[in-house]
Parts: sequence; C-alpha cells; structure tokens
Amino acid sequence: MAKDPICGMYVDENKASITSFRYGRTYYFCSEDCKNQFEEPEVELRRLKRVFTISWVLTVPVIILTYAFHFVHYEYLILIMASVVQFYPGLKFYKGTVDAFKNRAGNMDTLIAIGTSAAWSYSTAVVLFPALLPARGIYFDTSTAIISLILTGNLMEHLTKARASEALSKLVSLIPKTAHLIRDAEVKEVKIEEIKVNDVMLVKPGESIPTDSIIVDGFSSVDESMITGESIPVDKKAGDSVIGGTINLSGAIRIKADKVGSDTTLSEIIETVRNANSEKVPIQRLADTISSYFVPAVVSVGVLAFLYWFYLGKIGLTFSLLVFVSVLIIACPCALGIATPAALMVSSGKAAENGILVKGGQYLEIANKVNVVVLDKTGTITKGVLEVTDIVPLTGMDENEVLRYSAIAESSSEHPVAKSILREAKKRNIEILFPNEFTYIPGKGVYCKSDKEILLGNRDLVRENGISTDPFEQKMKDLEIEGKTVLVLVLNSKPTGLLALADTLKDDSARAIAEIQRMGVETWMISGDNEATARTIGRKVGISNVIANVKPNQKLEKIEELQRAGNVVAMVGDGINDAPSLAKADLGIAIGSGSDIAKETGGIVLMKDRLYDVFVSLKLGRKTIGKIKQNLMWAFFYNIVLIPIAAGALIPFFGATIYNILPFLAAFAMAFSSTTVVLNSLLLKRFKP
Amino acid sequence: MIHLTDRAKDYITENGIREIYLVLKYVRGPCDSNLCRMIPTIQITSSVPDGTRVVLLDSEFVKIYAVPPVANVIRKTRKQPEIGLTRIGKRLKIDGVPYTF
Repeated sequence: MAKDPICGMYVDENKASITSFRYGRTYYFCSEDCKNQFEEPEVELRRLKRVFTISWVLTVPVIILTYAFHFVHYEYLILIMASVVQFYPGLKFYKGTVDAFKNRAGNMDTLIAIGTSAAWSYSTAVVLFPALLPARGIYFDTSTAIISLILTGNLMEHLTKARASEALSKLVSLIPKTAHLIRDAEVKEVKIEEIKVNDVMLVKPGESIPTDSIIVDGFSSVDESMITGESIPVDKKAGDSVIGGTINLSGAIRIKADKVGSDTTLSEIIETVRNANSEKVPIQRLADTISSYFVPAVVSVGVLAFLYWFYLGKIGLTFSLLVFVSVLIIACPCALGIATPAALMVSSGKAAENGILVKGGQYLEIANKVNVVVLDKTGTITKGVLEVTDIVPLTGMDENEVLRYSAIAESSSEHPVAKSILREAKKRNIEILFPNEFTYIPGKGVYCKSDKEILLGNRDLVRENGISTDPFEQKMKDLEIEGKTVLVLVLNSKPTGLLALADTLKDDSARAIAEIQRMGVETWMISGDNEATARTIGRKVGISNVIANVKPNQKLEKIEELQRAGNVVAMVGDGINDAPSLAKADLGIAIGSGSDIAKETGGIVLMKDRLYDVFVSLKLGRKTIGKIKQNLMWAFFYNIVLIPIAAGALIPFFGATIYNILPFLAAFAMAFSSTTVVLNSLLLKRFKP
Repeated sequence: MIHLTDRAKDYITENGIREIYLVLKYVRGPCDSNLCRMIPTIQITSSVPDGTRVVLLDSEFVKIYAVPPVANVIRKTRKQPEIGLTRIGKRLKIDGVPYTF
C-alpha cells in the first residue's frame, strides 16, 4: 500500500484515483487537498498572506472605531468590516469545522469558529436588535483580533515549517532538470525524464550528474557531499559509478545511465526522508488519544464556565460570554498534534545532511532506547578488504624489493591476496614486470619466474619445496597471533621475506566504539572468523564481548538471547548474511556500502562507511526523543495551565473586567503556541555529531 | 501471532463470526497544518472486502486478516497482540499493537 506523502494515510494503489507523477515516481493521495499541497505548497503560503493582510487591514480600524472616533451609527460600519473578516479570512475555520464534523471529530478550527462566531453573533445582535439584549457592549474587536492573531500565528508557523523541511527541499532541488544526451554523435539537451537506462550522456565540469551512471570515458573529481556528507571530492575514472545529483567538478566525462527515475539513490533518499516524516512514533500515541477527546472536552469546559459565571458568579451575560470565548480560543490541540512531526522533520533532515537515512520516526525512538549494540566485524568494524600490514625482510633486501618480487609473483592472479599486494605496490610506486612463467597452487600460493625463481605462499608451500621455516617460525607465529595471514617470499630457493596481510580497522572504529560505550551502551562484536582474529580486532577497538566462529543463524540466536535478557538491541552490519539479524534486532543499522538486502532490512542506513555514524544515530535518536518530550510537555503544560485561567481562575483576583483583554491574550497565546513548538524543534538544527 | 481472549472467543462463537479483518481508520489531526498528521486507529470488522490483505491467523475457529501496514507492525512486535472484548458495547478490540503504522 502506498502512503499519502502529505497526511501519512495509507492509500491502496489499485483503487486510488488521485495521483501525481513527480521525481520519477507516482504518488498517491487520499484527497485533492493533499495533492494540491504536494504539488503547489507555495499556493497555500500565497493564500495565507492574502487573507492575513485583508484581516489586519480591517481589524485595525475595527479596534480603533470600537474605542475612539465614535460617530453616528459607527457600529454599523464596524459590523460590516467585522463581518468581512469573519466570513472571508475566517472562512477557513468554518471549512475546517465542516470537514471535522464530516469525520465526526473536532479540531482547532472548530474551537476558533465557535469562539469567534459567539463574539460576532452576540455583537451583531446588540447592533441589530438592541431591544433584545440588556447589555450595550459590542465585541467585534475581539472576534476580528482573534482571527487576525491566529492567522498571524498560522503564517509564522508556515514560515518556520518551511525551515523545518528545508533539508528535504534541498534534496529535491538536487535533481537535475536536464541532461546532455549523446545520440548519433550529437549532443542534445533533453529533459531528465527522457533519459533511459544505458543512454550515454555528457557531463561538463560544474554540472550535476543527471542520474546514477557509470563513467565510460574521462576522469574527474566529483563532489558527493550532498549525498554522503563527505566533504572531500572523490576522484572518478572510467568504470567508476557516479551518483545522480552530485557535482562533476573538474573534467568533462561521458557517462552511461545505470538507474533512472525512482530507482536512483537520490530518489530513494528523498522517499526515505519523506516517509520518515509521515510515520507515527509510539511516543505520539498519548497526544493523539488526547487530541481525539480534546475539542469536545474544551467546548464542555467553555459551556460549564459560561453557566457557572453567569448563574453562580453573577458577572453578567457579556463577561460570561467572553469567558466562553476565551476558553475556546486559548485551548490549543494543534501544539499536541505537531509536537512529534515537527521534531521528526528537523531530525530526519539533519540525519540526511550527515549521510544517515532514517526510514521512520519509530527507529529514532528505538535508537533512544538501545542499550546493546552488536557489531558485525568484517566490513563494519574492519574495512572488509585485506591490506599488507607488515613486510619483514629476512635477508639484507629492503622492504620495497620484497614487495616488488611478491607483486611480480601475484601480478597474474585474481586472488584477493594478490589484489592487496598489487595495491600496496602501486601505492609505493613500485614498477612491476610480468613473469615469464606463472603457476597458481590452489590454497597455498604461487610460483613464477622472472629474473629470479619466485615462490610466494604459506608455510605448507614453502615446506613442500624442501625449505625449512624454523629460522623465522617464531616471527610468523607472532604475526598470526595478531590475526594476520602470513606469506613467505622465497627467491631462488632462499627465504627472503615475510608479508603479513590483515583486514584492517576502519579509521574511526575505535573512536566510534569508545563513544558508544561512553553513552552507557554495551557493545558486542560478532564474527564468523576464528577466535584469535576476532579477539585481536576486539582488543584493538575496545570490545571485550567477542563472539567468534558464528554462522549467520547463530548471529540471529545471539540477538534473540540478548533481547530475552531484556535488552533493546541494535545490530550493525553490511552483508547479505547480516540481513536476518538486522531484521530481528530492535534496530537494524546497515552500512551503506554493503549489500542491498542489508540496506533494505535496516531501519537506519549509513550512507558513509563511517562506524562513527552509529554513535551519531544513537545520539540523534536521544536528542530527537528529548525534543519530542519537551514539545509534548509544553503542549500539555500550556493547555493545563491556561484553560483554567481562561475559564475564570483569575476573576477572584482581578475581577471580571480582566475579560476586556483576556480574549486578546488568549488568541495571542494560542496563535504562537504552535509556532513555539516548531521553533523549539528547529533547535535540533544545532545538533553537531 | 495473535491471542484471542476467552470472552472474545465466546463473542465470536455466539455471533457466528468466521472472519475478522483488521483495518486502519483515520481521524483528522487536531489542526489543518500539514505537519499535523492523520490519527490512525485499528478497527475490527467482520466483513472482509476484496483487496490487499494479509492472513494473520488461519484456524478452523476463525480467520484473521489485516491490511498490510497493520500486519507488518504485528509481525515486527515482540509482544503478542490480543483481541478481546470492550467492557461497554460488546465489540471486539485489539490491544498490544505498536503505534507505528
């Protein structure tokens, strides 16, 4: 089922008739209203500005005429102006009330419509039928000022809300509108929607990459910071992949489209951020439950307060009516409704800016509760790629010479060990000659001939060739204890050097784990590797809870065991074999460079390969939930304290005349209570990882 | 996956209910701001319309279906949701479903 991107309601794609095709995908809506808001959000802002202006232009003279410049029948002029405000700028409140009644519910609009209608109707009756009512006071200033103040609050909220969702807007703006398509040796500018998989395009320096592609010609530096949060440009050459929406910085490149439309990385990120905003979070349940009873409860309080002050308090019809109006106007269920989504919108945007994709608000809430983090070793704590860590010359030959002969031996091999050695040789600018003869000995090593006879392999290979490893056996064992794979280089039957290779730690692993532990979260490392290797890595990063030799299903069992012990468990992994554990854990955190299935399963996806972002995710979860709690507390506190005040709690101290100004103050407080919630949520923008 | 209380079972038997369908009903949020989301609640109906649905319980006694979003959260939860009977009005109700649909 699809989700309405505006209201969050589920819509059956098979039955939905209201749709919109944007950003390479079809969106489904529950109503035309939602579709309009999605397609033209600025229309609402323009409309709001218009009614806001009209409302104040008429409200100010109404207030002035109410208190000064009284001329003959001035009250009729006030009535006309107040009626325009009531039924033109104030029309949205009546529409909202009708919608709410259709759904057998009440909302903010209901309270405002009833409250202002009461003041307007009473004043109209005083003007038109003075004989019917004993009092002579008119309160058009109250009804008009309430509408104007609330519209001001709406406008403020609209403007601040735009800031809350600017991360999403920024992402949307990254989608290029056009591309330079190369067809029949001609370059033609076409709309991005026309690009199909395997189309070849030209991207000049300074231009955006139109869609996820592979470079077929040229090389350049690409700024991927908008997607990954990584500030350093990445060098790209033919064969490398580039992400749509990133910026080509230095050279002109020709690229072949790999993914288009909704399949691109950027579209998926936009969709994830949008979904995260529309998901419900458990913490909101209480506020939502209260919201559904709120409006009838407030109207009841208003009526009871009116009856009490009219019949028992004896403050007269006018002031009793103003008590009723004040109660309705000061109450603000709106703050309850937006407390959670406002904070979520800012934090999911903030996460996306830092290369962290949160698939739903509930994952931030779980992140806040996580007390155990289980980390896969390979590809998560380590780079998942073998690297040459030690070169030990056994004769007078220097390190680079040992590496050069090793690289010659491995130059024709596709084995991961060979790739590591060749990478190291390239890093050190060592020139490699291809050997004359090459023999691969499965599971043991290689033999080849160049200017010397070269044998490179493990202990067994060396011994099988009649060469003793005793003179350097201890050194080999020392390296092996550290979890390294050791190869012996033999030149012309003489042991010349040792090469140790290991899967190395990611640069930030130790720091990330230390920070996670500092949060009071227990860390576990889980690995399919042998005990010695796993423990060595565990020691280096500061994890003492190490489980080695585990199969994927055993990973799952360990997660379940930790959950049974009452822990809230986050699993961090990257591989296909991690997917079941990521799904089973309370929170699955997938490393972005990992398998697609891991990314699909994880509730949080780290676009960069930084383990430190696990810590950032947990911290952001805590900050977000803290902010939601603040917002909810503010919303509850506001209503609990101010409704009794509006209902007359201050009359014993200040007398009923306080109601000459209280309805204005009520409107002011209500109008800005929602804005306060949005502004408080915006403070999350200051979050620094 | 779902537990039925004895009272709910009695009610189902008494009323000859063979199928239960868990659907989402939406109520508008408390204000018209698009930040203010619709409030979803799970409702239980005994008529199962055509369309996308997931079987949660397929027993001789009763079959329980749900719309996919509800089925997803029920599958993910650690606790076992329970179908019982409301104290007033004698209607089926469901408890223990996480609020994340």
